[in-house]
This record gives sequence, structure tokens and C-alpha cells, in this order.
Amino acid sequence: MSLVSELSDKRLKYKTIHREGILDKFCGVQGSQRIIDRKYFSQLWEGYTWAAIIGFIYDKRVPLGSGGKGDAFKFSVINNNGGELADALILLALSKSKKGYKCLTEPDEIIKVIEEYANGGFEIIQSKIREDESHFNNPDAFIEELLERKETLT
Amino acid sequence: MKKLTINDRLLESITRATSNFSDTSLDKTTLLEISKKLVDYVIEVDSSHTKESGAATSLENDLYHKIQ
Amino acid sequence: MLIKSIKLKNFQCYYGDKHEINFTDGLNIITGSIASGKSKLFDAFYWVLNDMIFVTGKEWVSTKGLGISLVNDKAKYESQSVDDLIETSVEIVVNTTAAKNSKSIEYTIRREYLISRRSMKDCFDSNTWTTSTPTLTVEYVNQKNSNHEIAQGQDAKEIIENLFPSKISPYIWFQGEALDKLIDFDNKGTLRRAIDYISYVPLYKTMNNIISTVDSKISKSARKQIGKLSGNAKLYNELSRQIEEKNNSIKNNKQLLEDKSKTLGERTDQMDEVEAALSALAEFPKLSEEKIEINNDLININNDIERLDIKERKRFSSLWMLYGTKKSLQTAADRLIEFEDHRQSLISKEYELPEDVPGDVYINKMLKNELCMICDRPAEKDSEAYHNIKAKLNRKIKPEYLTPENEQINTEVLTFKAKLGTLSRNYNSIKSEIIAHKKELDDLIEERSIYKDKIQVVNDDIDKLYTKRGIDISEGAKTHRNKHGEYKTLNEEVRNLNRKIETYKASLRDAEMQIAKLENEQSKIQRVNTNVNVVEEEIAKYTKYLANHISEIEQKEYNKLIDQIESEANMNFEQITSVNRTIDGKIKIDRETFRVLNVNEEGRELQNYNTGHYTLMKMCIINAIISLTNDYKDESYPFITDAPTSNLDDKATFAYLESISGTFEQSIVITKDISEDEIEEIKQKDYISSLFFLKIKNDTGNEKMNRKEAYSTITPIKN
Repeated sequence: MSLVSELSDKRLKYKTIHREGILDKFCGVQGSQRIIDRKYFSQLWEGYTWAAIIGFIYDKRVPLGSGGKGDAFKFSVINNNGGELADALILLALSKSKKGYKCLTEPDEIIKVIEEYANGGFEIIQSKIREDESHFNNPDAFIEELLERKETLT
Repeated sequence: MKKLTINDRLLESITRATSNFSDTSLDKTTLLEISKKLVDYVIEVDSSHTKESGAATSLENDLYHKIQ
Repeated sequence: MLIKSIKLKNFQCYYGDKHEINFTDGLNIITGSIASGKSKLFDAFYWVLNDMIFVTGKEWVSTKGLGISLVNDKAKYESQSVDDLIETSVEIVVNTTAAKNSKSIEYTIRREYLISRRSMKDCFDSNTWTTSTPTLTVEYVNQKNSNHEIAQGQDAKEIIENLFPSKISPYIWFQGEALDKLIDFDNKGTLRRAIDYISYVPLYKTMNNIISTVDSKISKSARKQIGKLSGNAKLYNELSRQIEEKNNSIKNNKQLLEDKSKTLGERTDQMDEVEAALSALAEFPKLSEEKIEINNDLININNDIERLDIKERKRFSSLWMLYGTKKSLQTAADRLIEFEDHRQSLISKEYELPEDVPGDVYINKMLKNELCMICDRPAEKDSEAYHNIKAKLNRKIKPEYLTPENEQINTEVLTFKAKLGTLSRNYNSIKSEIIAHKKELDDLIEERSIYKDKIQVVNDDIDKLYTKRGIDISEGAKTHRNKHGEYKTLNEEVRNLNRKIETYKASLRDAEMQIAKLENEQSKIQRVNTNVNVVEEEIAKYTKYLANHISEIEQKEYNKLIDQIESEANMNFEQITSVNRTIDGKIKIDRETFRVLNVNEEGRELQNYNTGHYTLMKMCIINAIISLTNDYKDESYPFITDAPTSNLDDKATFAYLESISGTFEQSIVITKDISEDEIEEIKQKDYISSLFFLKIKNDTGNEKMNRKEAYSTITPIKN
């Protein structure tokens, strides 16, 4: 079985506080599509992937830990809806995994790396929001954050 | 067909807007009870049995009793 | 609520006082031929409650304006002497349905009009009579003390307003001819007022006020208590004070914003009215068209902006968000290469001995001779070459680079090398895509702002139109000048209101941001005693949560109500039009303008609807409104209408009647569309509860009837 198909059934976990503090803020739910209500992302996996990428770029890795409540969703959601993003996440995990190329046969390792960088990404986003609650209220903020990233970062 | 009262409808609009309080980790039973009380007060104000300020005070007291 | 009966005395064509109809629940039909007194019967209902009747060509006229024309002609003719009094009256009995813990109340509403004869001149001349002001009385039994009460004047009016609220009464009963004026669906105010009435908007406002007040108080309390536990009480309390200040300013701004927005709505409606009045001026149509065009362009621009917005989010979530990962992807590429290098080294290692190594016999021979017979080099015992040869003995295992694990990794590496290739190519276009997108968006936003200014310019031009042409119009020049003045004032007001509203909105945004900052600063201050629980802090979580959600309920529920009206109207519409092939499509209520449209499956407006069509749509909406009113308001209003189906054909008429009988607890329909010979057939229909027939008679036996002799009679056919 290929890596991608083994990953498809696995779940990416995340903490509930990040669900409330970030994912619900930025990701829409099925059916609520009045233009005024619309969140920047229409689905949960988008917000999650965004956070994960931020974690990778700023090299912040935070283990999930055992305490606290959590939620999870299937990797296949990203694979089915996100096109290249799923591949990118795997490649990013590869770049950071201590197991090097061996992680390509260890889907659990890939999942773990992604989860921990996503967790770190959430914390980075959370601290931006804490500094300024309305930071991401303006949709322009998302692209601005993109352009702020420097190519020379890790 | 059972007809819904105004109280029922108002309460329903709250649970609908919050998706049955699914987007929070606060205690759902408490939230429902508070919402019920709020709806009752709204009806009282509407039928001129109380003023808004009185209703607010009553609700405040209820909250102190309910939440420790 | 049920209307039990109506009694008429000397009211228009009804002579004397033997005219009484006792209604049942369900569908009551009153029919008769032309001029048999049907419209007058409807007038009677309207008159007793509102002191007015509808006069074709003049619209609603009060009793004062009607004078003696309200009074029955035969009665006037029969008056013999001066000081004769003629009483004209209408009395209806209404039963309200019982609420939870009370009985139903019966109200007797009566309006009386007296005229007395001044001279023996022409009995049909108004100067011959002295008129008085009609008196209104409402009798009922008081729930609390069981007293028989009689209310008059203002008190009586209030009771009637409670029974038949004026916001909803235009829908409870309407006269077919008056339909256009009474319910003008081109005026968005009409439908919106009805919806405002049915909806719980005032209740939601109250709910919002209460929970906001409580949340405010609790949060304030929480801050106070936490302040006491704070490591830096002075700073904490100062921050609290500032937060309070900002909160107050938000409260004020919200109120101002609400007021100004309401006024803006009113002024804009007024401007629409004045513009309609200006349509007489020649240049006006041109400007009006220009305004429509600009509005359309604006809609297109907004659609484009919307489209771009959607595109942005799509691209963001499929590629753009990867921006900045170049280095990491490079590292990933390095790792893939690492494996490839490793594999290559394994392969090389394998090829020190050729793949086509002979069998074990030959190998043993090589070992024995300590010679590699393939490359012709010595292989001394225990040398590396010797061990390599030995390793090939009994070689059943696969070469190391072909282990399952390595094979698997290899497959993945190849796959991901390819993916990385594609990804890198796409990655390189991200920045330029984003920049191009931003430019396009900025351009559109600027264009939109330009178009908004254009509208202001058009309004200014309309204003100038008056200055130029207003004086040319000789007739009604004064009216036009006045209208001009009105328009100028309104235009200026709207401009100012828009400016003010923007200011308030900006202030609100600003204040909210500042509060967030202040709260953030507060949260950074350490508490001295972290073991103490501040109960207000816990409560505030609940109140804040509810306050946030409830602030949105009003709008959500309002929209839901409109959805309900639309869908219920469509249910009726489909039911009725299924018998009539010439009408199709659906009813749609435009959410922006509240106009009523006929649309096809895709929502596009259909062009060819005629009066009958439009009437039917209006009636379905009206039915939906009343039916929902009954639902939402825990009250059931009767539906009373005169000639609603005059624009429909027979089939549609009966389909409409049947649908009404199913919708309302009680309906009273006055219609000419049933002829005398159809009566027997109609009587049998089980959706008709009562049937009454009106006819003009005279007692003289003369074929030709004149106003002195003729009068209407009411005959119950089914009851």
C-alpha cells in the first residue's frame, strides 16, 4: 500500500482549544453561506493545513501532550480536497522528521510530525490574535501574512 | 398539529442560532436553563409586567444562583 | 378570533334593520349579482371598524366626507317631517379565541350615525339634513371583575386596534378593486411593515437588550473582583475604567447608528416617492434610466468583486498558502536525494560481483583456488574479496537494495520526486499570481467607489433639473417647486446621514479594537492569589457567549420569516395554478427591495404576467402572511375579502376558494363570481361552510327599480 493510501485512513489530531480559538473562527460550516457570515476558509481542513504550514515555516514544533481534550479528522479529507497541499504536507514532514527518508514508510511518523507542527502553528496564530483580537477579521490579513513570510526562513 | 407558543419559538431561535450550543465547551444544561429564563423575562417585559431593567436584574440574580 | 355576526341598519343600500348575517367558522361565501349590495356589505365591515369606506376613484373616504350618501335612500325618501331622525348603524360581534387560562371574550362593536331633517326640500340633497359625528361603542365582559363594560371614543378605538392591529389589518381584509392601492407591492415599505408586525423583531430587541445589559454588568463586576486580586491593582483598575469608557461609547454609537440608519431608510423611501412624482418632467426619465444603469453596473462590479473573492480563497487553499516553504521543500528534496545516493551505493556494492554470478559449485571452486575467476584477481583467504565471494554462497536472499523496505522507500521517493517537481513549478508562480490578483481587486474596489460617487452625481443632476426646468411648467409650477425643495433637502440629508453613519461605524470598529487591546493588557497582569475563584468570571463566560449569539438572531430570524412567507405563498400558488395552465413559475420576494416577482426555476424574472397573474401572486402572499401571523402570534385572524377573484377565471377562482378554506379558521368571501344557477352546485361543496345570497328587491312590483324603492336583501342558503 502506498504511503498516501495508508495515510488516508489515519487521523490528524488537534487540541480543542485550538478548535474553538482558531478553527471555528476562520472556518465555515456546512450551509452557512450568506456572504456576510462567510469565514475565510470554507472547511476545517483548510484552516488546519494553513496552521501546519505556518508551524513548518517558523519551525515551531509543539508536541500534543496527553492532557486536554482533542478532536481529529481524517487525512483523506486533505488529500481529496486539497490537491497538492496533501503532498506538500508530507514533503514538509519529510524535511523535518528526525527519521529522514525512512519516514516515507512510516505513516504514523508523518502524522506525528504534521500534528506537532500544526500545534506549533496554532500557537503562533493564537499569539497573534492575543496581541490584536481583530487581526484576522479583515480578509486581506491572510494574504498579508503570506507576503510577510521571508523565503530565507527555515 | 401542536401549536408552538411564543416562548417555544423564541427558545428555538436561540438553540438554532447556537446549533444547540455545539460551538462551546460551556455546560449545555446551564446554557439551556439560562436561555429559558431569558425568554420568560422577554415575554414578561413584552406583556408589560416588568420593565427591561427589572428583567435584567432578575436574570442577574438567577445567574448568581445557578453558577457557582 | 371569529366574527359571529354583522347587523346593518339603513346602511347604504340596506333599508331598515332586518339585515343580519350569522357567520360560521370555515369558508363563508356571500354572493350575488352586480349591484346587489356586496361591496356595500364589505363597506359595512370596514366602516364599523375604521369610520371609512372605499369609494372608487376617491379611495378611502371618511364618514364626514360621505355625509348622507352613507344613509339608505329609501329611508330618506320615506321621511315625512322635519326633525325626523334616521339612524344608520352597523354592529359586529367578534369572539376572541381563549388564551391559556382565560375564557374567550365576546365584543360587540357598534358604530352609529344619526341625521336629522332640517327642511322638506329634496330628500337627497345634503343641505336638507343635519349630520352628526358617528359614535363608536364596544361592549364586552371584563375578564377580571365580570362586569359588563362599555367603551367609547378613544378607549373603543384602542380595543379595536388590539383586535385588528393596523399593521396587519390591510391583509386581513381587502377589497379586490382596492388591492393595488391597499397593498402596493412596489412599495417596499408595505411588505416590510407586515413582516415587521409578524416577526418577533421587537422581542429579539428586548432579548438582546436584556442579555447585553446583564453581560455588561457581570463583566464589570468581574473586572472589579479580579482587580482586587491583582498584583497591580492600580493599573488593572485603570484599565477597567478605560474599558468601561469604551463600552459606554460603543453603546452610544450603536444607538446613534440605529437611529440614523432608520432615518436613512425613511428618507430614501421618501426620495423614491418624490422621484416618482418627478416622472412627469421630460428629462427625468433619462436621468432615472442613468441611475438604473449605474446601479446595474454597480451590481456587476460587486459580482466581479465577489467572484475574485471566491477565486482568492480557492487559490489560497490549493496553492498560495504554501508561500514561504521553499527552503523546507528544498530540504525535502535533499532528503530524497540522500536516499537515492544511499541506494546507489548499495547497488554499486552489489555490482562488485556481477549479477550473473554462477552457482554454488563454481563459487566453491573460486574459494578453493582463492581466485576470482570473473575479474581475474586474487582472492586470498579472509580478504575482503574472499568474503564477498563467500557471501554469494547459497545466495537466496535479495540484494540489500532490493529489500522490501528499501523497495517501498524507493517507490515513495520516486513518487514524491515527481510530486515535488510539479509542486516547485507551481510554487514559482505564487507570488506573481497574488500580486496580479491584488491589483485586479484594488482596481475593482476603486471602480466601485467611482460608481458610488456617480450615483451621488446623478442625484445632484436631478436636483439641478428643477432649477432649470421647474419654472417652465406653468401648471403646477408651485407643486414642482415644492417637490424640488423637498428633493434638495432629502438629498442633502441622505448625504449627511451616510457620512455620519460611516463615522459611527468607524468609531465602533475603533472602540472594539481598543477594548481588545485593553483586555489583553489586563490579562497579562498577574494575580496575587490564583486559588481564589471569581464567580463573576465564570458567569461572564455564559453571558458573553449568549450575548454574542443573540445579537445575530434578529437578522437570522427575520430572514427565516421571509423564507417562510415565500415558501408558503408558493405552496398556495402551485396549488391554484396547477388547474390553470397559463400561469406558471414561482413567487419570489426580492430580499433587497421587498418587491414581489414571478420567476422561473432558475430564479430569473418572467416577463409576461398580466393583472390576473399578479393579483393571484399578491393574494398568495397575503394568505401566507395571515397564516404565518396566526402561527406566530398565537392568534387566528379571520380573512375577509371582497371580489378577490375578479381577475381570475372560474377554475382558478374555485381553486383559490378551496385553498382559503384550508388555510384559515374563518374566512368571509364576498364575490360576484357565482351566478344564481350555480348556487345549487356550490352549496354541495364541503369546503364551503356557509353561503349567503344577495339580491335587490323592491316592494312595488315595478320592473324598473329606482333608488327610492330598491333595497338589498340577504338570504342564507347554507348555514
